[in-house]
Amino acid sequence: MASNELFRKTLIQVRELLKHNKISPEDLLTVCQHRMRETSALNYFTNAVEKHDPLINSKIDLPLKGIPFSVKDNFYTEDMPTTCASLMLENHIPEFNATVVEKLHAYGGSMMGKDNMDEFAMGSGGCESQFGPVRNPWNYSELEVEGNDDFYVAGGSSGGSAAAVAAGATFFSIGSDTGGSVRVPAAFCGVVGLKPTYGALSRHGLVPLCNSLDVPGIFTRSVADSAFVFNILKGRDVNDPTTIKQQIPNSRVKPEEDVKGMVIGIPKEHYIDGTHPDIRAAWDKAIQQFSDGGATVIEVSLPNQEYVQPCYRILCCSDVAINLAKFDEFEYGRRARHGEFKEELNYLSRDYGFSEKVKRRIAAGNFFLLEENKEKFINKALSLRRMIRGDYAKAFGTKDSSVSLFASTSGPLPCDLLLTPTTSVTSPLHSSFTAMADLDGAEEQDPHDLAGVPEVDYHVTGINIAGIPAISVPVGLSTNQHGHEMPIGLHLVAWEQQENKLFRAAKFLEQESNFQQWVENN
Amino acid sequence: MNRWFPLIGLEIHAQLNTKSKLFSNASKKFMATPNSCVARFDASMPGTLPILNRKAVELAVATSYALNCQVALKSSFDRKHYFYADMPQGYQITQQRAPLAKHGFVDYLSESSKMKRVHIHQVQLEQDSGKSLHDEKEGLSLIDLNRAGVGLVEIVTSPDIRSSSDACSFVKEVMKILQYIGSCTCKMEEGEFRVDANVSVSADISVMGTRTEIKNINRFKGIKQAIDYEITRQIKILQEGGKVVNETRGLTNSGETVSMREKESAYDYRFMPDGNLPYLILHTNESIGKAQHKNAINVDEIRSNLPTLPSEYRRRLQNEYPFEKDIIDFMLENKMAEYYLALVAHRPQVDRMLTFDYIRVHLLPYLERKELSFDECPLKSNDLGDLMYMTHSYQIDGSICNKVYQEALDTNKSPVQIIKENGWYKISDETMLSSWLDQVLDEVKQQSPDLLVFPPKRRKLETAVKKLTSHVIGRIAIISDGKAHAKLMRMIVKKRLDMLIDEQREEQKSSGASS
Repeated sequence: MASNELFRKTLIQVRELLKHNKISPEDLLTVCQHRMRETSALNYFTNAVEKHDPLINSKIDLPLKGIPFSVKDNFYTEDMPTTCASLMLENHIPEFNATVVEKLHAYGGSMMGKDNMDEFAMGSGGCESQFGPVRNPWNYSELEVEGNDDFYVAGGSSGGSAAAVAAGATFFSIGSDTGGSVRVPAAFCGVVGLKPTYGALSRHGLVPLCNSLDVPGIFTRSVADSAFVFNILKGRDVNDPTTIKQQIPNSRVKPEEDVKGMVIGIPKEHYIDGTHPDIRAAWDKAIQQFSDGGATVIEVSLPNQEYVQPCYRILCCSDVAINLAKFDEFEYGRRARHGEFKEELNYLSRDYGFSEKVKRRIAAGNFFLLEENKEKFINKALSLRRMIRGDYAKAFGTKDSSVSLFASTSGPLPCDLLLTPTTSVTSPLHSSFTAMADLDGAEEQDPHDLAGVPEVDYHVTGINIAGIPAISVPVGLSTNQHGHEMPIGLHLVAWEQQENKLFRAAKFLEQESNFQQWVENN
Repeated sequence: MNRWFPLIGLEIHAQLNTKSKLFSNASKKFMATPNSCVARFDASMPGTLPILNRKAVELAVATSYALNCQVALKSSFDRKHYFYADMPQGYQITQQRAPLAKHGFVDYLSESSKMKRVHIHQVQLEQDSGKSLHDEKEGLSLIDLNRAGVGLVEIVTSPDIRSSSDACSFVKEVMKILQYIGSCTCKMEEGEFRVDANVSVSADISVMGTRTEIKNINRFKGIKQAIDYEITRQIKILQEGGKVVNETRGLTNSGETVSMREKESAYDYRFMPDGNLPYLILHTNESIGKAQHKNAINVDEIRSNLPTLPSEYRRRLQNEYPFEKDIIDFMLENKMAEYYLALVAHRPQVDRMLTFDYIRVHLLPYLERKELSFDECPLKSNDLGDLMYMTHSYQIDGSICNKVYQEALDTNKSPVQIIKENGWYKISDETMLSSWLDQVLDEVKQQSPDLLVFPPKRRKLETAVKKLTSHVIGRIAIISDGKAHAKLMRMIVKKRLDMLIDEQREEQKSSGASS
């Protein structure tokens, strides 16, 4: 089989080929390595695996045998640098594998590299890596041909993971999602991005951003692939006390899915200004498809959505301040040469190691954590969190013990899923994203400004606050003002541990929209 | 002249007696090679997560119940932040918002033998910090993370204590409780047990003065020193019209307290719930069935399995015999009470003080030498009871008692068996002993009657009696083939001779009067 065909396949497809000996694991490796070289300008890896272990031709049919994958560079990998795209961890080589990495190895997967990302997973563009921004594969060559050195952003913070899958360098990748960091880049790069229930996948070996929100996420080229990898990675880990104790059932995706009898909620607060008309149209079209497919589509309300970003910023910055405190010159990073006292050394080394944005978040986090601000910020954020989760519980008709105050038994029909766009815009050019997210720091950052980048994160962050699963599915393309076609992602949300419902509806969307991933590559 | 009323509250930090640390599987050893007991989590390697030590929770729950606290079935962990090199995470995991237990009390016997009560405000689980060592000569700071992450219970009292001696009595009682339930070995010299003291004085007994906190008292004598120094210092300031500053103080080796930092400018610990740790959910007999996992902890089970506490032993010992406070304290400190009480229950006839002394003088040093507890003692309480009973009832005599005791320890045979096998029973029947005495006195009368004439002619009375006594006893020993109980025999001989002397004295008096 021609190699230029092979990299376009999905994981499930290449598994079939491997199983029937149509291709060998070596073929796959060669194809992906070739693809990596071809698309290296996209900068999706911080470090690529140079030497691959000879693939053992064992008779054991490991589920991922020989399948190339990559993991975000905030997952610990034994004997390979784990940088979090920060100078602070530039040469940091861990001595153990994250649980998800360990599992992928155990199931026979073949690691290609570590995915570039926003430094310490803070960002939504994939542009804030200290090793340079990740570039979106979509229209990259067109811009080059046009002589434009601008590029489309891959989204963040797991930009490298999304771009690697979209570029065909790996068949799936692992990112982390704290406030949308898997689903946003998935939407921008036209791949499937799953954010599982908090605690469904182990965080052991994941360098934390916000401990109570972080969850490993999965990038694939199809919904069935996503379910396949999810089934492998989910489950209790003795090294992570926050993993779910009960057994999570396996999710199966049929070749054809229907949505008969499902109740799909459309949260009215998600009709927001500034949504691109194509995205709005794609959303409406999907609503129609669900309705035509036999689902009941109803309007629901998530009244506290406007507080999602402030709540998220406070919780996240506070954890950032705490989690990054361990990065002092004693154990990590470069030790400053000039410092005389411990405090001075520490200050200089941290000043060197962290970027401006990270430093700003540390400062903001410490500000929120001050005793005098506890009532004003942290305690408010904690109660907002309960209210936001309560909104979702109500929409899903769930009696959640922690939010029983809000979940009333009588009310609108309980939803199986919620449907919104993933982002309100398609991937912007780097230049416009920089302005949008104020990356150059044109405006003085005020810790009280807790808005985030609404065009990008409005629809996705509440899911992390609630700890529930969601998936972004590419459904079509939108032509922007530069005449470039960019992918559109729609966002399905379920109640906790109901990933199976997500996959079913996502598969339905996938088959109805017939999204063509490789429309512009070649 | 004003009278001043001191008020003292204590915070006790006790290292939990577990094999591994509170949140990691690194072992917990005193004086191990620096940084040899450090798990990845203890070194704050990113991506490592805290795994709560089940044993530590069980010990903390037992401690809470032993301190009469109410245990919370749902408690949570918080992070207390400060930058310090021996605290590599940048925070300590503690329980600030929802501690493990609250509202307890400890009754203790003060030095004046009065029962007093201290209320326990709360009991919480937390991590110990690492250690920094400063090499002044080389200009180096060295860090040892062996202690980092070791599990502690912090016991916070209400300010109920009025004197340093009460504080010491209370701390001793807490130590005993923790040792009895096995939650902490309380070796202050190994840093396993540390005390912070909050001290204030006021001229008005109903008002609390400004307090200072003396941190990290790590020797027992230091508790009294620190509190006494602080009370004196504060009274002096107040008498001179000054104001006590609310501050943290340290205790010097010479027993003085010195200012470390003022509380007003104190560090803001920026407490925050720890997102890596789920709620600590404990179960009762009712709820254990619904627990989601097999490692669930049943607090009712822990409570019903609590060993007998020192206060209960004290009550039982007091009922048993009017011992002095010091003796009871000694028995409690040496964990002798259970053994002792079992012994006297088995042989209620034994002499209480003699038995206590025998254990104190013989058995306790033996156990200490062998590093055994009374539970592990090869000589069971019943056996020692038998031996004591036979000794105190003159079935054997003192020297035989020691011999039997030694052989019982060496051979694991019961004292009764040893005595039987060796025929070491003594004859303590008074008629028998008296008849032997009669026999010997008859002998003396025939062979050297002078010896029985009192007062003697050539000697002093005492010398003559002494000589006669030893002669008589020696003869009885021969006649009885060594079976006469020596101590009892001696008493009978003395009585008889005294009688003899008195008789002769009376005779002489009356004959003298008649002549």
